[in-house]
Amino acid sequence: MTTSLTNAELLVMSALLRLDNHAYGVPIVEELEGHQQRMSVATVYVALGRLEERGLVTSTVGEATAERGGRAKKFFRVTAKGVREVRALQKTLVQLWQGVPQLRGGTTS
Amino acid sequence: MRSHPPAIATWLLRRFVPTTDAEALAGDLFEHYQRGRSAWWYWREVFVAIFTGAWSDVRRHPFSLFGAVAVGWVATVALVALVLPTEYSLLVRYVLRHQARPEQMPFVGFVMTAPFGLLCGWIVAQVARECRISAVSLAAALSAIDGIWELWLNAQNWPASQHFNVWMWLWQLPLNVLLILLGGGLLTGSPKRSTSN
Repeated sequence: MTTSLTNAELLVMSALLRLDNHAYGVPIVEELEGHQQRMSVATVYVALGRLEERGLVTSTVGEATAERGGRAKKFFRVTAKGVREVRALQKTLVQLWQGVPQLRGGTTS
Repeated sequence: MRSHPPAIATWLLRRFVPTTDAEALAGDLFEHYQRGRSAWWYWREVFVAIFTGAWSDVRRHPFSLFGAVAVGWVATVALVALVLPTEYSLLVRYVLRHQARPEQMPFVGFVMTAPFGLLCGWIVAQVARECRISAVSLAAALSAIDGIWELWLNAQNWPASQHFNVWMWLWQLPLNVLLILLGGGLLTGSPKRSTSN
């Protein structure tokens, strides 16, 4: 059985998977913005914190750089359990959307 | 390298963002700023970080957070009720001996009651160990709301409530808020964040 993912959590996990499943806050926010999804940095961290608590992502602290005012990066990675969650939700959504007349035509609005 | 982001915003970020990711978040915001984001963007992100962090604490530790604020307020009100009569008798004697002019009484009274603000912040911080920053900030915000409410009530009865000194109020309100934050340890030392976030 799958647990529910919020919209923000699903977006953050998808962005993380697109970034070779190893990224910190800045590229995640930029990846989302590249797909017309504006999310504040704090919202991304709140979503990542919740996902980490549920064992869907893990984190490691990276190096501190001058570009970041001497602060360390925190890298995130989607776990196998996290990938299963996303796949299960993807399957459910695809099944739900099949045959819905309003959603025909792919990405055109 | 571009200049540093707004110092006050960075200070607020360091002091009032309750999550354990605050350091990584601050680094990310710094990096975004260095890549050309505006000061306005930086300020907005800092406020979003403070409020989303506080809201996250409200959702995760509601009993601890509101319980701590309630305990802090009740304990402070009880202590004020117990200690103030003695303090006021001292104050009256002080004035009767002509050591203070009547217009100085509100100031002397405030000096006597100020430690209760510190005490309230300290109690809240001790009770809400899981969500200390959010609980102390909430207590300070409630103190500000209480002060504004007092002003509004007195404004209704103007000029009958001439004993209410607006100028005193104008500096007492922010000072009370600062005393609660100071008592809660939010303005001194390195911020102690919960490890459960």
